[in-house]
Amino acid sequence: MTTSGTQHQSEPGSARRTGAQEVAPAATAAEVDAAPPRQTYRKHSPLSRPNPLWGVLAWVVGLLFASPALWMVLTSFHSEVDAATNPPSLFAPLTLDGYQSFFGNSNAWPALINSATASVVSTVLVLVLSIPAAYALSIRPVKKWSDVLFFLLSTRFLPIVAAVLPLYIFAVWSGALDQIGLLIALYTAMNLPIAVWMMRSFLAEVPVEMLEAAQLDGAGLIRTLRSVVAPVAMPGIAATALICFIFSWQELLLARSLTGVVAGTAPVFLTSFVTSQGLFLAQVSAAATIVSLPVLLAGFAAQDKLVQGLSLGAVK
Amino acid sequence: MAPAVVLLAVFFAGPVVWSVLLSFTDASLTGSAAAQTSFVGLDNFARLLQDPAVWNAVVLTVVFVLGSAVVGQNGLGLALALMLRGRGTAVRSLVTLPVMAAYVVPEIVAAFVWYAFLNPEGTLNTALTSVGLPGQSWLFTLPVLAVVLANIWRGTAFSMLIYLAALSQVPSDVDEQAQIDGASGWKRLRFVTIPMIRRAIGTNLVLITLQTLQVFTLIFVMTAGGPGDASETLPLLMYEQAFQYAALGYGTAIALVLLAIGAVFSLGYIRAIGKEDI
Repeated sequence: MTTSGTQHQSEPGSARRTGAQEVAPAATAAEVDAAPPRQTYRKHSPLSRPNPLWGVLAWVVGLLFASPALWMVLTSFHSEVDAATNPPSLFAPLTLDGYQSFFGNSNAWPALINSATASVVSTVLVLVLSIPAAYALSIRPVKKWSDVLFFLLSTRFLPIVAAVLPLYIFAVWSGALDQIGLLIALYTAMNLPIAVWMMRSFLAEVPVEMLEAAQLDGAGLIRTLRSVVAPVAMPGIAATALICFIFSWQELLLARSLTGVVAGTAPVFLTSFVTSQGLFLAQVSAAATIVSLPVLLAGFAAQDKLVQGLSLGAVK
Repeated sequence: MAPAVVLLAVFFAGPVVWSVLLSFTDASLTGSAAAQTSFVGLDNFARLLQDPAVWNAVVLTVVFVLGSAVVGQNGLGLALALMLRGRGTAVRSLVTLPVMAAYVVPEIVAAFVWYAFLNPEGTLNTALTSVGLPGQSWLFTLPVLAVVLANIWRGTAFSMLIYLAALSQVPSDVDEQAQIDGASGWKRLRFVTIPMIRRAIGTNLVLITLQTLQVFTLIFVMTAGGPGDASETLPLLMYEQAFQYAALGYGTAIALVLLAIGAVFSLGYIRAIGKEDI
């Protein structure tokens, strides 16, 4: 079998590949240096001429966006006294007191474990359900596939607030209130549409010729999936998993309405922590930093594919 | 395929159909109506039309969507994407990483950070007083502006990513031709670039509008809809009716108003962009 790289080059309908170029700026920059003709695009596009003003402005916006989060992380390492001074002391001595008191709270660990359980299990379920669905939609298209896709996307953008009340009644009636299993099922359903969309676009990158070649060589469906589809689609699958994880981890409305003391997740715990400890800035900042950390890491890990995944669903 | 569709039908389409049914009843969490729910026809909707709190919430919701999504996130996202077009890795990451961080951080954290920034003893007032300007209770005097700004901060990444992807697919030759013909930067943006990413603009507007209509946590933590009902958008009103006053039937009727507003916005965009382009 030839390498997937050369197959890629020969694949027509290159629209979906531009996303990949988009997300590898280092590579494109190198290519641009090597291949002068491509530089014309940079030189002539309207706002990208080497006008330092736009560059400075972009930096300023970046800094503005970063400042609230940076302030939070900095405060989390300060003592309560330093955090409460007016004006806040930037260079106060750093301490882990905030983190100690967060983990000293007996509800902190159970909430983090609940969040991890709900996010990880639902993400695995989403993958198990969405890979076959996406395969059916992209590689071997079933009839009416665009209708199915649109139905999937439409459910993602129904206001969850509108579903909360019926779900609450359902949970009371079925005894699933305050059970982590209910959250797992809901997060799975919530993330499925976006996962199918993303996965479909990643699977569509598997060149048809490779599939045909595998078929000619006598590979069965499982064998084809494992040896041909999986290697090409793996980064996409990983990115989809990370994004489902992010969405489940930060979900609050469902968790807040449908769980209590037993199955409360980290954001629910954080809500009560903010209300009860609102004056202890350093403690709350430490708690907020800890709860944000997993999704920030996941977000940075999936960053390049996030562009491709989220936008390919919407922009082709 | 089938299991995925079934799961969605059970947990999302089902509840929405159910809430349509509930909105025609006097369902309640407490009192006699909790034990025996009865069909009340259009009573909830009649009450809704006469309820000044609902009209207030509709206006606030529309202002919130227009300000934070249509103008804020959409405009800033497009501006950032244009600024970053064709720039090197360093500038790109320096801008996209913080913008993305705001997007992936849990909503409750974003709300807390903005609360800490804007509250009377918060960072903003401290900074203002240190340069001699009077501080004020921002969340009390300008609650809508505060939640609009916070939501712009939180959601711009989505629009930026969509426009970065869309711009990367705009062929450069048309733009170059326009430049040779002597069109200014602004004119090329208005008459060349924007028309070519019309489809992305339409899709982005639909998606961010539907997302922004649902924003609950951010407002709930920052202002809880207050002071009074000065920032009580429809999701907060619905939550209050259902979980504080236990009026499930009326609460779901309010949720349907939210669905209707989403539909009106979406139809408006499809009209404006052209049906075949969505």
